[in-house]
Order: sequence, then structure tokens, then C-alpha cells
Amino acid sequence: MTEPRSPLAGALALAAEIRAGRRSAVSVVTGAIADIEVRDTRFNSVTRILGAAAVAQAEEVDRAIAAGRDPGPLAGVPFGVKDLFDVQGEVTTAGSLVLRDNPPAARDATVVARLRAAGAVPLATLNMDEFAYGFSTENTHNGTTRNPHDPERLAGGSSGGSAASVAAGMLPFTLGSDTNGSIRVPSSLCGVWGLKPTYGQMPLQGVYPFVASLDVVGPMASTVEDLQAVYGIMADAPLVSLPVVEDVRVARLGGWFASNISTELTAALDAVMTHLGHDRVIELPEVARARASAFLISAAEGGNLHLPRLRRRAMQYDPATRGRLMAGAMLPAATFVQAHRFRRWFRAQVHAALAQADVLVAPTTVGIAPRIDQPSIIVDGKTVSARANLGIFTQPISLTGLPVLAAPLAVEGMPLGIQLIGAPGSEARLFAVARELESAGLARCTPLAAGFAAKDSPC
Amino acid sequence: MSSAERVSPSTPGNSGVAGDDDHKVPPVAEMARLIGLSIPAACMPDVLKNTALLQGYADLLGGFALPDDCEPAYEYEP
Repeated sequence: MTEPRSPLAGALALAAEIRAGRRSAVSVVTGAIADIEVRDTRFNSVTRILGAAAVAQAEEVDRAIAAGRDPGPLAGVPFGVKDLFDVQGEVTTAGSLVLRDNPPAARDATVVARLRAAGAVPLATLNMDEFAYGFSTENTHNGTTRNPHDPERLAGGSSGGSAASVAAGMLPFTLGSDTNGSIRVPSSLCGVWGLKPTYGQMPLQGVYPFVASLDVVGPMASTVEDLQAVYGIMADAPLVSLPVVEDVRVARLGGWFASNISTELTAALDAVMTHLGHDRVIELPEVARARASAFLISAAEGGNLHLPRLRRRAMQYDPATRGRLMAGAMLPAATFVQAHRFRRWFRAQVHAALAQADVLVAPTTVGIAPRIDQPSIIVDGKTVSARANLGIFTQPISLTGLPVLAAPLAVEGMPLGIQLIGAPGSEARLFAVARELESAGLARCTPLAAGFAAKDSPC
Repeated sequence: MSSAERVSPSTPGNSGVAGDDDHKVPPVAEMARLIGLSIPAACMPDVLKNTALLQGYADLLGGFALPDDCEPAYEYEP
């Protein structure tokens, strides 16, 4: 396992340096490119470096500063996007060969445009499971993304490149998408902060879809402060104040969410609840069926989306994705409708639970990242595929559309993470709890080395 | 929650599909034909495996009685 080093700076700290003229945006961006070129050979998190365009935008930032104009709160900060966000002038592949002949995007995805307007610089596209259908970022076309904390282990997925590039310290923040856990699972396995905002809150214009009923986009970052800032810019609604954490009622999810987890994760959850001073445990009903519903809705909507191409070009798909999409395309309507009816029922149960607590705490995965050569986990005593089952704790929550902040626990060894789950639109409460856990030393992201912040390139 | 509810159906994601639930595997070739999908022979084992997996989840879900006034969440608001 690689020995982690202390993070040097996050996005806001880097922007402050650039805005103050102590570093140039160009030096930061070119340094980040050089760092990725050298170090990402180990992790395979980046699929394309947007070098020329990134340097050109960094030059614009430097000119704005020189001219006394406001370059934005994220001035000159490089970031990466899962390869399903449109970036002007680039082909959005969604991690597949199938879309590679599409024309380049005419404009940025809305959330990318908002970040660019805030001074941030899109620097790279990032690896993912093909069409976001998986939890492992094992991609036949682009290769497997490796966990920076142990390259013999999976990074998780489907936003695995987004998590790994932050965990490696190559980028201070990235964008991912989350349909069944695709921000939360890799955030947990790579030990970074991640946010799945409330379903329907973030604009999805310019984001390649997977499951319209569940898709959400959100940020991943090395500090919770950065996560909050990036989230506010993406949503075009900055969180100006957070509630006092003592006023936030916290409960732990039991039952399904207390089964199958490692001893170390149980102990870490105990420590979190003890620190927050809450001992309430809430058990949601019918979680297995909630997960089944999310699984079925994903298969049906994803399969339907791809059916025209599956009829003509099936063999161009990643074999791991193709069979799942074909099976989903054939799902009977009765099953699909039942899943959507169950979703309505489960929503009522979850809202009843949220009447008792403001934030629900649950594990994100059953344990640490599985080995790449043994991509499986143990569930109910059975060995099952990691690619399909790493989301057993995230999929039921996806069905509800609730906001979830993925917090990396401060543990020795490989990362572990928890979900902080809130009521719709209650992201501020999640950030209040997350900041408390970070300041108490119970949660932290420890990138290997913040290469983007290295001061080896003078202005 | 009963243990029967907790266990995922037919161990989702397992490479093996065979077993007691084999009789539940839908007629994949017929279903594919109905939607104009031709499944290459090389893909058929994986499609069968995933169809059986989805059928397991469908059975789990179908075993839960919902009230008639529980509408589908097509226009879902969290």
C-alpha cells in the first residue's frame, strides 16, 4: 500500500493563491498536466487531457487578474469530469466506443459552464464504467481504474476516475454522476468527499443519461469546504450558512444497513454516533425490495435508452454492459410499473423516518475496496460480483432521490466511508454534520500528494 | 425484516445462473424478437444470466402487495 502524504491545498486555497497573484493559473494548469502524465500511468483515472484548451483558459484567467477583473472564486483551479459531461469541442463518449464518432459537444454541460464561469478550468475527462452501468470502473475500452491507496484494488464506480484522480492528488475536485451509488461508492473506496444532491436539483443539460428516473450529478473533492463551494456553484445556489450541528437530529440506519459490514466499519460508525451524541437507530422497511426496484428501473430505462443501438451495433458495447442492457430492454412492463409504484410506497416510509431525524447515517459499502484480481464481495455469506453489488447500501437510497453526502472516515489502512442522508433539499444539514466530523478528526480525505499544488512552477 | 427478505434473489451478480430457479428464466429469444432485438449467439449466455437476475428481483418485488391507490412515481419528487 502506498503511504499517504498530507494534502497540500484544496481548490479554494489554490484559487486564493492565484487570485492574490502568488501563482499563475498557467503554471498551475501546466503543472497539473505534467503531474497527470507522470503519475496517472499507475491509476488510469484520466481518459483525455484537455491540454490546449485548458492552457488557453488559464491564460484568460491570468489576463483577467492582471487587468484587475474578478476571475471568479475558483480562478485557475483545474478539475476533471466523468466522461459523460459535455465539454465544448470534445466528444462525450460515456466511456464507450459506441459514441466515439459523435460530433464534439457544441457547448459545455450547464454545470461545467457554471464552473468555468467561476474561473475553474476543465482539464481532463475521467474513466468510468461504460455508460455508467457498474460499480467498479472496469472498462473494456479504457482499462480498469486503480485505487490510488492500493493499485491492486478497485477504485469503485462508476465515477471511478473522478474519485481516483482526487485521491491521487492529481485534481482538487472532479464531477461525477450517481444513479445507484456511482459517486458514493468510489468516494468511499478511494477516501474522498462526494455529494449526491437531491434528485432533480442539478441541471442535467449536457450530461449523457443513463436512468432518467434516478440520474443525479455532483462533485467530489479533497476537502468538505471545497465540496460545498463546488456544489453551490454547480447548483447556482451557494450555501451561505449552515445550521448549528447541535440542532441537527442524527440517527443511524439499522437492519439492512447494519448487516454484512466489516468490524472496522462498525467501530467507525460507533465512533461517529458517539461523537455526534445520538444513539437513535431507525430501521427502514422493505429495503431489499427498494434495492430491487432501483435495480429494475435502472435496467429497464437504461436498456430502453440503448435499444436502437443494441439492435445495430451490439458487439461494440463493453461485454459487461451489453448483456445487462439487453436484459433490461426486455423487462416486462408489469415489472417496471410495479417498481415505480413501489417507489411511491417506499418514499412514504422514508419520509416517516425523516420525521424522526434530520440526518440518517449508513455505511456506503460493506468494507474496503476489493482486489482487482478478486472483484467480489461477501453478502449474506455468499460471494457475489463487486461490479453489480458494491451498491447494496446506496441503491435503496437512490430510489428515494434523497441527498447524500459521502464522507471518508479517518481510518488506518484502506479507506472506508459513510453516507449522510437527508431530507430533500437539506444539503446544508449534511454539510453541517460533515464539517463537524472533519473538524473532529473523524472524517478526512488524504490525497497521496497534491501534485496540482506543487510549487515547482514559478509564475 | 425476515431473512428471506434480506437475501438478494438468486445471489445477484453470481456468474452461475443454474439452479432451482431455472424454470423461471423467461423465453429470452421470443422476448428479444418482440422488440426487434437480435441477440448474437456469443452474447446469449450473458443475456440469459442477466435476465434471470432481473427475474429474481422482479419476483422479490412482485411478492409485495401494494394498495391500488399507490400510483407509479413517474413524476417523482423526492
